[in-house]
Amino acid sequence: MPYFHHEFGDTRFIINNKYTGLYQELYGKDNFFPSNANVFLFFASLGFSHQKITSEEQWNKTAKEGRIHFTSFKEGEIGLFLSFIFHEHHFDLDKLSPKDYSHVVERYADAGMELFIEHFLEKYRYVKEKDGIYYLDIIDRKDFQKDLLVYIRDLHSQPLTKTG
Amino acid sequence: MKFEKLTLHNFKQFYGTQEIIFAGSDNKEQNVTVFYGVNGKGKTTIFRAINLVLFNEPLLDQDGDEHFDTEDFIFCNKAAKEEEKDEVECFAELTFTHQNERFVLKRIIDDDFGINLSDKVTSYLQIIDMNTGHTKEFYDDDVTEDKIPFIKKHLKSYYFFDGEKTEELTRSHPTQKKLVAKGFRAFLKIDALERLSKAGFELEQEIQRSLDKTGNTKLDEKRESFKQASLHLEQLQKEKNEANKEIKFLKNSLTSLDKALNNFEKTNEIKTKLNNHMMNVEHLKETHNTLLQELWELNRYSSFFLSKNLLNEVTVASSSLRNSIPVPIGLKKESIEHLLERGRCVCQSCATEGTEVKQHLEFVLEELEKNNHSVILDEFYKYLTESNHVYERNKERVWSTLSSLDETEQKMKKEEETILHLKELLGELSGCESLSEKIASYKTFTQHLSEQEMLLVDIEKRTEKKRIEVDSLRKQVKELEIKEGIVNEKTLRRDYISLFNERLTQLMEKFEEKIKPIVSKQITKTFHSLLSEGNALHAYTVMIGEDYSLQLVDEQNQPFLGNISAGERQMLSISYCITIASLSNDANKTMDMPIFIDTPFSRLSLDHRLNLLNTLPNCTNQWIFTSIDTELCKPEATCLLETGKWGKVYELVSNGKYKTKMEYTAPKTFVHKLKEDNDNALLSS
Repeated sequence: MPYFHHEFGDTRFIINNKYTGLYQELYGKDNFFPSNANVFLFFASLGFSHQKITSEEQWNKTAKEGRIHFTSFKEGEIGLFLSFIFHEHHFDLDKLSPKDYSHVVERYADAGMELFIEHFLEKYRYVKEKDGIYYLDIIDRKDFQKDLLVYIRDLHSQPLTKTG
Repeated sequence: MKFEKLTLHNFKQFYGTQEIIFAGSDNKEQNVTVFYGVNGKGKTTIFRAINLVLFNEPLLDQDGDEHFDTEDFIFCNKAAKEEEKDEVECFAELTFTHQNERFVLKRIIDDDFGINLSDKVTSYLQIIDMNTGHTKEFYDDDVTEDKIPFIKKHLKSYYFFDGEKTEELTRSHPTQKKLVAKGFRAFLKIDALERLSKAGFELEQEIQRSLDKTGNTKLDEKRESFKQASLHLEQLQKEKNEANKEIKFLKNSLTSLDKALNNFEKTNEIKTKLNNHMMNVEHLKETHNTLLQELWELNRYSSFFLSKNLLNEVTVASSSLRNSIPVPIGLKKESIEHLLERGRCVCQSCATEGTEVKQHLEFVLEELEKNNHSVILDEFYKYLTESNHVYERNKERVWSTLSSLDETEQKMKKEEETILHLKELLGELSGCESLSEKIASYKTFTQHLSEQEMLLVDIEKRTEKKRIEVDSLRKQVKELEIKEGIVNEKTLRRDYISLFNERLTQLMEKFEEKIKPIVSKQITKTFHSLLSEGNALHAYTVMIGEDYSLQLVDEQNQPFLGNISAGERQMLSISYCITIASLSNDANKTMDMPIFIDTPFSRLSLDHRLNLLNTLPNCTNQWIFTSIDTELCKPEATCLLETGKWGKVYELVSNGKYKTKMEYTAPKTFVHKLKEDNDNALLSS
């Protein structure tokens, strides 16, 4: 069995409780993203590219639940996921196993989602909040699709932040 | 005619005796006089005084109609009345010159006398021959219009007018059109020519009637034939005129239709272009949707694009780490296991039980198993390579899709701009929709024109034939008259009058034919010079109708007078007045009468005001106008000063209760003062 599959097994990566609604809708019936894991990686990348990460202290206090299965990662996605981890522990495999660093990706994804809400969903009024949980508030899904594409296109066009 | 001096004595606001000298009376170059003052200081009183003196009319149009309550109307200055209690003298006197004579015309008003306003006015006129000094004086009823024949009451509204009311002259209304036509005919003396022509024909007939009483039966018969033939010729002449009129109308209509059909062709061209561009937009929209869909599918790779720096960095770091590990990372545990199972090394040496090669391979395998880090790194590198492949594979797709999307959006924007422009063009050419109707009209008109032209040829032939017959009959009558010995003064007079009538008719026809285009061109030119730059009416033409009414037509020869603004109508009215008055006078094309305009600027925007200030002084001997403080401001005053035509300005200022004083100021000083006031206002604000 490959090492990482053995290491992570049926691990579920954790997401902030208040974002569960958004995750569900973003990969749901309209397939804005193909999978939950893809959404997770998108937000982790967004947080990382903006060098924004939820602090460990904050993350410990956050109510969260395991949602993303390691096995849900598709082509190329494991490599990207592991890149966050290897980048974080500077390839020092003696100290801890990669699994111990997976919370770093979760914290980037959490910060990325916060950015997404602030810079896109709230700006275009595509979000509502009920009982502390965020949901998409979309009247015309085509409009949303178009705006989301423009947002992502703009992100692509931006020079990305040099990482440490 | 030139105004020299105006004297007012206890005339309305003007207390005591006050005199002003008009610009242009002593200096030809500077011919503009301005009366400047705030409301209620007597600007319109100046207008009223001149109107009263020249035309003996105490009321102005602005006073209202015949129901005006004259009892409320007081001419005598109230302050003077209060001070003197007894009868106070009140008059207005104007001194003016015409040719070699100086005229002093005075109207004295007694408010307490009579019931009608006209009863309250008594007149005095002095005429001085400027060469000999000989003086004639006339009083009251002897001051008649024939003493001052150059002042024509019926034409006064073309020289003396209220700025605000001028625009009424060119309103699109039948009454106003009649008024314009009347002025036109009067100024160009067409009425006089027609009266002369009528009198000539009446005289000819009268002489003929008295001649008819002489002679014998044969001569009578010949005269009757001549009379009938002449009447027939006259009838044919009328038919010819009618046919010519109809042909002219048809030709004009065909020209308009031609333009409309051309427009239709243009419209069709534009519609074809528009359709093509709209189809382009549809195609572009489809392409745009496809690209969006494609981009949508590429969304799944967004994480890779956002993390491309991370992937690069980690790839470099892991490669370097793999190189630093002594055991070649490329050597896989499975490969060694395979070699051991096969019993042969890669170098083909035997690796069976007990051989040294097998021992070495087993050592390597042990090392590999121990080197877990290397395995992890190896596996990570495998995943990383896959990630990089995903990124590399889709990088070009994403960027090319993005750039295609940008390109498509730009093309769509361009196409939409073109469509908007074409739609605007179509809007401008609207009214070309009923093509079939226009083609039908065109056919009908063409056919009708050809019929009329044939008819005209026929009438002309018959007219010529009849003319020969009339000439022959005239000759025969004349011969018979000679034979009968009745050639006398009467027959000679008849012949001369007949010849005169014939020539006069020809002259009038030629005059009409020539004068209308000249006037039309001149009014159009003046009107355009008064319009602001960029005004759409620059492309429009002023036309003189059959009945001498005035019309403004657009590029398609369609009437447009009803659609212009009051300010533009005012400019058109002024152009009309200037043109016909100047054409009626002398070859220099300047008016022989001074122009007086009461508050000319109120309806006009600044650019129109400046155009008027630059144009009018050159069109008349003298220009006098009144203005309130908000009309003649710094830009207007500076512009007028720069024309070099501004001779005098009189400020109407309060000089106590019911008293206004006319204070002379040199225009330069006046402009300087306006500038100072303006600067002070700016500073205080």
